Amino acid sequence: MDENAVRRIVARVLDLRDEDVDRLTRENCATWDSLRHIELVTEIEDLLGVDLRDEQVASLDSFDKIMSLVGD
Amino acid sequence: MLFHHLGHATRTLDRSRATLKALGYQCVAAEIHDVKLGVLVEFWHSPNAPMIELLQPADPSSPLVAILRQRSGPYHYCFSAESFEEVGAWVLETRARMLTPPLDAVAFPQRKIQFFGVPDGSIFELVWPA
Repeated sequence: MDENAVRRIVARVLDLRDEDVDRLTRENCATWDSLRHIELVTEIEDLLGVDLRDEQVASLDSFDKIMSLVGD
Repeated sequence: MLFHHLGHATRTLDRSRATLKALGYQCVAAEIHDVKLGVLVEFWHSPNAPMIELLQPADPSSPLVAILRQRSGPYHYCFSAESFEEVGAWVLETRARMLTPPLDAVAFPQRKIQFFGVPDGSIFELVWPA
């Protein structure tokens, strides 16, 4: 899985530059609200071709966790 | 699903009332305090236009404050569901995600409401069947 593709998705949805998404969390990112989270999750689902369970959706609260999911 | 109302966020109800009156709207439910959602709401009806729910933050911790940081104005669409199956089908088809659990509807006795986020980042409120 192309890490840069994920990085671009996260950056675009959260209005950030690609290079600013490392170490990103919902806590430290002002634009990462619940609505953007839903947009982000939908794009990740489309990228992976999966439907994420609600628990998985709730747990994806950092770029690192998104990358872990994508890498699985 | 039946369209119910458009939710319009405003910093103060008073600031929005004159605009709606000038468009032929009348207030049909005034200053209802929804403690759980942290808002003061009013419903405005027009025979020629969609019903509008005006919402004002009830206190600084209201979730509406974050929305008003972006802008005031329309921010959610509300539909009334006629069956639970209809809600389930809508959620599946739209890939909607819950923003709140079902909540007692302060403005609609005996009914529950629930807010959902959809993939384009917009907000929908559903009024559950009675």
